Amino acid sequence: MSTFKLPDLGEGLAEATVREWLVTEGEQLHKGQAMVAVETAKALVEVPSPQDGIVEKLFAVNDETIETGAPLMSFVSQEKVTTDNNEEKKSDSNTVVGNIKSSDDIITQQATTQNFKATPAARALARKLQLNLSDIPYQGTHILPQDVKACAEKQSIPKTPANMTTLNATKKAMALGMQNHKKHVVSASLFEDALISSTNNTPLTIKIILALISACKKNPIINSHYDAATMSYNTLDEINLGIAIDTTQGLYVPVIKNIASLTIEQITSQLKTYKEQALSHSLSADSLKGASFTLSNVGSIAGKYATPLIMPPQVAILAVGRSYNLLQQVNNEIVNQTYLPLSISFDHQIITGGEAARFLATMKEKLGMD
Amino acid sequence: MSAITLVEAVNQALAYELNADENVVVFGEDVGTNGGVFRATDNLAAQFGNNRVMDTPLAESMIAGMAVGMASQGIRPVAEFQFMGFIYPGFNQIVSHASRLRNRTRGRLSCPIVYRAPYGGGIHAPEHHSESTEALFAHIPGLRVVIPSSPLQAYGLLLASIRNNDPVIFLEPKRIYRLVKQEVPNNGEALPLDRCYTLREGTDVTLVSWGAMLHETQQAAIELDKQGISAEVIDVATIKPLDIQTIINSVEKTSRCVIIHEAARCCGVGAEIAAQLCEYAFDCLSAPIARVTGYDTIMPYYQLEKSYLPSVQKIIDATLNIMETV
Amino acid sequence: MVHKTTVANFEISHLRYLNEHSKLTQNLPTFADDKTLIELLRLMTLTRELDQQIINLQRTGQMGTYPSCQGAEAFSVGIGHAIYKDDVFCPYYRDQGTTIFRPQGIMGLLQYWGGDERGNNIDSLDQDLPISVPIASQCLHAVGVAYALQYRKQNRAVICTIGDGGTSEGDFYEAINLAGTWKLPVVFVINNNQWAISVPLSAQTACQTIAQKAIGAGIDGEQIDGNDVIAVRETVREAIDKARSGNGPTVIETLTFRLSDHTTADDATRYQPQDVVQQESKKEPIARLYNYLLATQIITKAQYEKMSQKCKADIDKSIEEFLKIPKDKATSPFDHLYENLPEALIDQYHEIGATK
Repeated sequence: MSTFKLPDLGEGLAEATVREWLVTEGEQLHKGQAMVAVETAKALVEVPSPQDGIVEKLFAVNDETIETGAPLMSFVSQEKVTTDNNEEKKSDSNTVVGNIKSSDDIITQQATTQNFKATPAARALARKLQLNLSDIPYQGTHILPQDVKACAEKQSIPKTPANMTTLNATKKAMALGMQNHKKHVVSASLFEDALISSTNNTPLTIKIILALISACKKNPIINSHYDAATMSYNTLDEINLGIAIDTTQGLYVPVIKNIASLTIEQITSQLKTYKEQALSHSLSADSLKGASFTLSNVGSIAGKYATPLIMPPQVAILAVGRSYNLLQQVNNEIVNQTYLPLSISFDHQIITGGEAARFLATMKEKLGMD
Repeated sequence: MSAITLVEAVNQALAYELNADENVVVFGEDVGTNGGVFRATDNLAAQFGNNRVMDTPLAESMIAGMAVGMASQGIRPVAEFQFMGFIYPGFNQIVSHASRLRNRTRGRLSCPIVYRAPYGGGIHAPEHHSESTEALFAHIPGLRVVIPSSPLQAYGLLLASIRNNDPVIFLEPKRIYRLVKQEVPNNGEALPLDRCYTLREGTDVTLVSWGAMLHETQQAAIELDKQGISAEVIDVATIKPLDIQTIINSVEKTSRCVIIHEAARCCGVGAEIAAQLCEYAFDCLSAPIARVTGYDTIMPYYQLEKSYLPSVQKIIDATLNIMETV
Repeated sequence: MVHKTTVANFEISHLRYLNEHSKLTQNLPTFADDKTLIELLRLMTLTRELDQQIINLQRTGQMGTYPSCQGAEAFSVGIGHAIYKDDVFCPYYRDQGTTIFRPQGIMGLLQYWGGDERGNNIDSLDQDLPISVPIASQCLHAVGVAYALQYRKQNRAVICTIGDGGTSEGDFYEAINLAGTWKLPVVFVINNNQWAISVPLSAQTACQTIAQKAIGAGIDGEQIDGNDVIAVRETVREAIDKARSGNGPTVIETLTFRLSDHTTADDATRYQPQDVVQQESKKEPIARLYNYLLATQIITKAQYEKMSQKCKADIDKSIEEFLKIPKDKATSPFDHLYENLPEALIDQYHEIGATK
């Protein structure tokens, strides 16, 4: 039961006298309803019901004086108020504090987990070094950063010993290129001396380039890219000629793109530009890419014949030696003739000796023409 | 098999393991005859006896410390703290002893203990009954901190925790004790610890949360979907040791992450997740990592509880905010 | 005059056999034959020798901070002699004389104080708890162990030691309370050496005796002369037998005096009045027993000197062995952190392993 005590009816009055009950035991009250009239030293006051409820017991009778704070009446407890049927018992709130929301909503849930074979640090490092996790060998339960590092290092040069000088960037690129060549190319070489026409005044380099262009057009297989892994090739429509330029820092091979479409002036100009850029190390990365055939002039310093190394996916490279004069008998006359040594290296996986020979034959023909 | 609530799943797991392993004992205040104030240990004392499911005197340091002594003898104690707010007197025993007994005896003695406590707010309770201080335990080396988010998880993760040979702080989000039901086969199958669970796949943003907040997070994901944002929802489940890999994996896909927890912001577990994401997946992120958390204040009395706890709207807003950064 | 009835009465007894003048105050208990008394003297001498040498190591930079047990020889050796092999020991940290009986032993102690966790794993089958630095926390471990023994119906006991200061901690009260409520097989032995670092007993508690705290837990409590190894051995054995036979826990208070600094990092002359120290050292346990054995001709001076030399030699050897032990590997903090190293810690493990 919940007991309602006589409230302080004003200014600390110690007691009051019940004059008249306005309700009876068992009666249903609502909050604020006048319950009882009491008389204090000062006035006759009606005390309202503090709540909704059923009156259980009245503790004072009419004309009885009770003290402030003494029990006045009681309400029937909430549980009993709602109980009309017997089965209603105090339900288990299933908590000792607060309110735990209950519902009968049923959920279905698909929750998945995953396992990983690399540690977070290893994954981050692999991403940074652009390595594929599936390429990295490891021993323990997980790929570790040290495994990633080791894999990356295998693809790069080990540390230089103390008394050695590491190659500079250009030579490093050359070295890596050569390693790549060794891995993918099977090289053979063919040598020839081409008679250079004496009447044509075009500069020798241009003569060579024009002859080269002719030879590539006539023997298109030489102007191809080859993929050793799949044993397939792609003959290119355009001739992108790589020109080997030697500098103190090393070898650069800038590419004149679609050289067959350029005029002699354009070719000359491009050559000049590339030479300048090579010497000042200002060649763009783009200008070094995409060659379909490479020309190397070995004779400018010394050297007649050479076995130049092919840069895959190209399938051939031509080395031109130092031109030389020869006195020869031509039609009962002793004539001074200028010859140009030509050395072609070709990838024998795709190019036959005959194809290489025909290429040289075309070049000879063009160089000898007026 | 009928669908059961999270707290019933806890009960089911405890019953299963008490039956399966006689070394398992359960104790705490009011867990025996009364079956626990949330009925998590309902009927267990009757089933398994008062010497295995025990009402202890009112002393939390004792509850924490005696578990250590028991565990050193190969008993597998499942000790209950009535509320996370009352775990603190036992904090010393947990941190100074349970977490380090194996290490300091170089493996000779160990603590296969589960310390269970209802945790978290939102139940209109008096003060001290709504604590969410999992970060305190996550910081301690040698402990595991596990928080289930559904009845199925509660069953599987609790079994795993009891069977694990290291101390586990098993925090049960009481707000969702009875909020939903789920079919939980009583087959004794444990779920993996130390792993995050992907609850929902998505491509635009990774939402990471645990415990009761997943309820709001999942709702936010549904709302975001209506706005054309595909959210991946990850349940951390084992707060410590943290499976950052699952989260990284997700962020590699989505490039955005929002972490949601009801615990206070400063040095909350969200901070650890954010730090690790920056360490290991910075290059994958296209926006700053967002945290939606409780404020750095004392959890208010229940009148102001609602404004303290992260809401579905707050999660949506935080997500939209980082979606704008491209 | 208000009428009240007395609903409970309590008594705390005090026991001694051998007083500070090395005189028997009553008949010796049955275990205390000549051979055993000589052995007890030897063990106490060994303990003191060990203690002295460890302090020397610390003073010469070869050992970390260390708590001397000078004055606690009878307390610890008495317990060590009373405890059964299959009992479980939950020490505090001034139990050197007990540890020499247990699997941890001298080597374990040296390694523990020498900063090496391997000192807590000398014997993998050892069930004793390691030294407990958080004061009184071991009391709760002890009741946990005792529950396990009781649950499995094993007739074994737990012996838990603690200092006078430690009995002010909540953990102590919670432990004895549970021990009483669940009638656990545990014996609490309190080394009341009158000092908790610099805080004297008078500032520690209003209790007349510490043993009477047992009354607050509803269990038996008794006080004995902690400088009388015979009283210690007898009383502790009796309590252990009581526990082992299922008759519940006991609290034993041994009265001693700490004749050393709290640890090697402390200076007791700052707070221990020297005249009191002088007086108390006259009551110390080794001289007390030795003089009795000498007077009763159970031992001669020459025999004791020989015994002391042997003790010194034994300790010398142990320390030599200890100093040879190399450091544990850098990754060892990860090896026993969890049963299996979690994936989340693999990166850190390799990081620390790479440091030299």
